[in-house]
Amino acid sequence: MKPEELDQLLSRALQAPPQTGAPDDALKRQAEAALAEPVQRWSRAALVAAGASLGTGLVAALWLPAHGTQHASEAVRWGFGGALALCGCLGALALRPGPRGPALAASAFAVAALVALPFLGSGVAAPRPAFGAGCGALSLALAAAPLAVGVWALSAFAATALRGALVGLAAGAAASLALHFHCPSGDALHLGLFHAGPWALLAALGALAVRRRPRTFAP
Amino acid sequence: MQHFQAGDRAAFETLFARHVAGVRGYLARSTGSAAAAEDLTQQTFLSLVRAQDRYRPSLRFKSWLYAIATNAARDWRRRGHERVTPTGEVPEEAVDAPAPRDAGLERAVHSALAQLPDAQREAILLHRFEGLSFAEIAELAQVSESAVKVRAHRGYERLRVLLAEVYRA
Repeated sequence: MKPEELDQLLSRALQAPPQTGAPDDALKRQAEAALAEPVQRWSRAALVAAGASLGTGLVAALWLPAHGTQHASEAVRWGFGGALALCGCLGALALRPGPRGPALAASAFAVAALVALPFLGSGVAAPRPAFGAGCGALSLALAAAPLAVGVWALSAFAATALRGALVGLAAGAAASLALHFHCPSGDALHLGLFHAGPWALLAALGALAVRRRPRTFAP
Repeated sequence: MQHFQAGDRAAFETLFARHVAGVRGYLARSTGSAAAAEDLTQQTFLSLVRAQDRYRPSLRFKSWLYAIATNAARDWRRRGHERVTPTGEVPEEAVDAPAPRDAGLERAVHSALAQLPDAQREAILLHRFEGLSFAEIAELAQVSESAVKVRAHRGYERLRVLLAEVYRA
């Protein structure tokens, strides 16, 4: 079949469809009824999401008892703690409309922190082997609230899996911030399995969560 | 759109009047169902109102509006509303075309379109029927213009194969 023959076929089959159901006036009235609703500001949702992550991380870091935490140096203790707090806030960029640049940049930042985490420990093993499961469970429990807030904010538009993963990483960063000042174990295996592992799981949960039906289909 | 964002309600009426027919036509061609198109057109304009804060002036309004419609159609398809058999056929009752039109041909073309990946189908429908340029489609799909051209080209190639027998008949 030649291209012009396909074109003719498509034109015949897909001519302008007739209107059925609600006329334009009814459609317009329904849309205009929505004008009375308050405008959903993405910046406000982003602030709430960043606040939930940062607040959870900071409150938990201050509230949880420190079990003789050991870090390679003071620079790692406060530098990495600050980086984790920043990662928690960067999740808010996932809500920003527009090109993927900010989301990709923030993802790269969060992933870099995820990869670096196992190598920043003091090398000191956990006092009890069972300590690991506690860190994993605590990580998921602490991240639950910021993840829920982030997923609620994402449902305001047709989010991509990348944006969902970023929200999950931000929630994971909040939990990691608390664990960073709480957990005494500094060996790479423990940090990789029970700190970075749940973090990666949260990113996957965030990416899956965007499959829920959004409240609007705006990009 | 910027007037509407600034609170001018009359601007919404202008946008609605200018684009409602095009959006409805695109959704009807995309879903093969006039009833679904009505519902999705309503959801598209409701999304426009509710998410007006997400529109950026650097973006062409038409690209943004059709991106909303495309997301609505994809969601509709993902939720299993598209009735395509395992062999890629669209059942007779699924294409709610009026009698005077060539229902057999419509069904065959919708079956063929349903077998294309979303991105290829959208590139063809938006370019061929809605008059969007490849640049505008690239903007709404957030890919390069050349990627959109490749999608459309591959979609046309596949349609040519799928519809060869229909054309001969």
